[in-house]
Amino acid sequence: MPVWLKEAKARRGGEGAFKSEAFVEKTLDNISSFMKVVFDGAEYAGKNGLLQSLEPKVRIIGIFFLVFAAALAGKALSLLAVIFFAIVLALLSGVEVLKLLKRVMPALIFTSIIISPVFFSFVTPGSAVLKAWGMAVTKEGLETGVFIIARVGVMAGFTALLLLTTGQSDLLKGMRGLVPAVFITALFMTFRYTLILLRTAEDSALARKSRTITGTNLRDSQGWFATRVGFILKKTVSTADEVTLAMVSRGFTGRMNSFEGRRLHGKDFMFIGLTSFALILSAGL
Amino acid sequence: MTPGARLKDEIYRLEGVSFFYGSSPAVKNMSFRVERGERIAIIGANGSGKSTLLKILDCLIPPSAGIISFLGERLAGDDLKGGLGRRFRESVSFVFAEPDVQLFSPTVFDELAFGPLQLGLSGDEVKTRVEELLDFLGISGLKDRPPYALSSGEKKKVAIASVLAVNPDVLLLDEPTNGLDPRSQVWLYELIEGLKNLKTFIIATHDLSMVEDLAERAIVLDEGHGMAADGPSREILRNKDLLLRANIIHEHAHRHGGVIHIHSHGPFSTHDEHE
Ligand SMILES: Nc1ncnc2c1ncn2[C@@H]1O[C@H](COP(=O)(O)OP(=O)(O)O)[C@@H](O)[C@H]1O
Ligand SMILES: [Mg+2]
Repeated sequence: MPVWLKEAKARRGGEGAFKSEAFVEKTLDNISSFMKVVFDGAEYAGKNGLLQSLEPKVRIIGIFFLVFAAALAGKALSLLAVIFFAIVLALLSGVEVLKLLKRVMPALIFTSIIISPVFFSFVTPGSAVLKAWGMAVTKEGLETGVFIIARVGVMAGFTALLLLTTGQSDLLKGMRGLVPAVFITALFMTFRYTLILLRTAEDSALARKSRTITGTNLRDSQGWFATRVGFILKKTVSTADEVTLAMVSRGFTGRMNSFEGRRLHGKDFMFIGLTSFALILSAGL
Repeated sequence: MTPGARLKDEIYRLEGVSFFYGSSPAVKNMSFRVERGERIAIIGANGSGKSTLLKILDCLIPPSAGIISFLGERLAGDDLKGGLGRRFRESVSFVFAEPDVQLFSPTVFDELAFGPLQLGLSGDEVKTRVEELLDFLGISGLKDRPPYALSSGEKKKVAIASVLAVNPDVLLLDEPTNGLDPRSQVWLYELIEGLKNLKTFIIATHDLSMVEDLAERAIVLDEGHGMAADGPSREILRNKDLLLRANIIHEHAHRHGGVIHIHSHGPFSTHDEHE
């Protein structure tokens, strides 16, 4: 055995010896935490709450109505009413309003950036409330902008409520009969393949990290990532093949069977009634 | 016995089965029969074609050449959609080497329910069946956990449970002891032992202690992807030359009390050879 193989490495000291490698890790962390929210973020699914007690299909349709109600709300009053509805719904389902806000925040920030010109006089003329660098923010612009942001926020809030309280299987089950089976299967397979892709990328980054002795710079990391993408995709495809075979082996023939939805109760009808009422109201007002 | 005749309790018959990935062979000219209740170990070095052979037996990939029949009916890959498909999937189950490939449901409960639901059992039947199985296998505690967050031993247990849920007659296991800690390994051994004579097992492995303990018959694949031997596992395990040639064990220098002598070792050799 060569002598160097017997030398111990775990010594104290050395600058940045245990520093982590920011770029690749951060990127992957961000992607996977986002995916986990989308596919796997039903933290409140097991709680006893109003939304959780509704039949999945009813839950999806009702939320859908509410999203539309928010989209159609033309007056501040109707929008406020919808926001109120969202908060009550969250509270009755055991979801903290703060949690919901956190989920909605990215959508709010994104919308704010996209629509930011609306605040200014060159898009929305009117009485200036704030002047800076030769541009003016107008009262009308502020009103319009805040209204749009609030509306997107509520729509995102309802969607987040649905995802927080509805597990993947309930979601797929609920969509049965609402959308063609082939879409559900496609959606499901997309979930799976995306997760495989992420896991492969993560493993691949981890494997590299464990072999990296000194910290590497950003450019190296990015270069590595670019060359690895090919490998990662190939690996993903072959794993995805195996995954499909494993499903076929277990009797999957292209459409998913799941537990039948339960019978509808009075509560379910009431929820649909209320939400469609909200939709009609906001469309009319 | 004439080559065409079917044994009374024949499950599989393979005649000259080969499989190519593109132009590279993975399984070459294999012929054998499997009878109900047999426990067969498929042993061979890495890349010798064990997994590919299991996939052919599970009718996931059609052989490039040769004939495979199941209960006397010829399997031709595509025609698995209809009646034969469902009957075949109910009868034969495959536990993949990598449990992550196999597990995808949000909870362990859903995972176990998937197979029976696909095969059209009613919701209530499925629920009862899954509960009983979780209990029988001692994994009720995992019921509501997401499979991806389990340890590798637990994943393997869930993967095995998920195929037992359809109550298959034939179990194809690909390297089932890989990644199992000793206690889970005992769990698996006891399970296979408990199902002896009730199920037909075809187990791909290079764990020779498993072959010795759990399989009465062994089929050896050589590194050229062909069949090197087929016979009682006791005899095959004693045939050192054969195992060496198939790269299942290797010559190894060992020191015993200052005396160095060469003998062979498999990855999990049971030290029979210490004579
Ligand atoms: N999806 C695939 N595409 C191409 N070649 C493959 C594929 N899967 C396996 N092979 C090749 O087929 C041969 C047999 O592989 P495999 O059946 O996995 O062997 P084992 O399970 O005994 O390790 C190997 O040479 C392997 O490289
Ligand atoms: Mg293999």
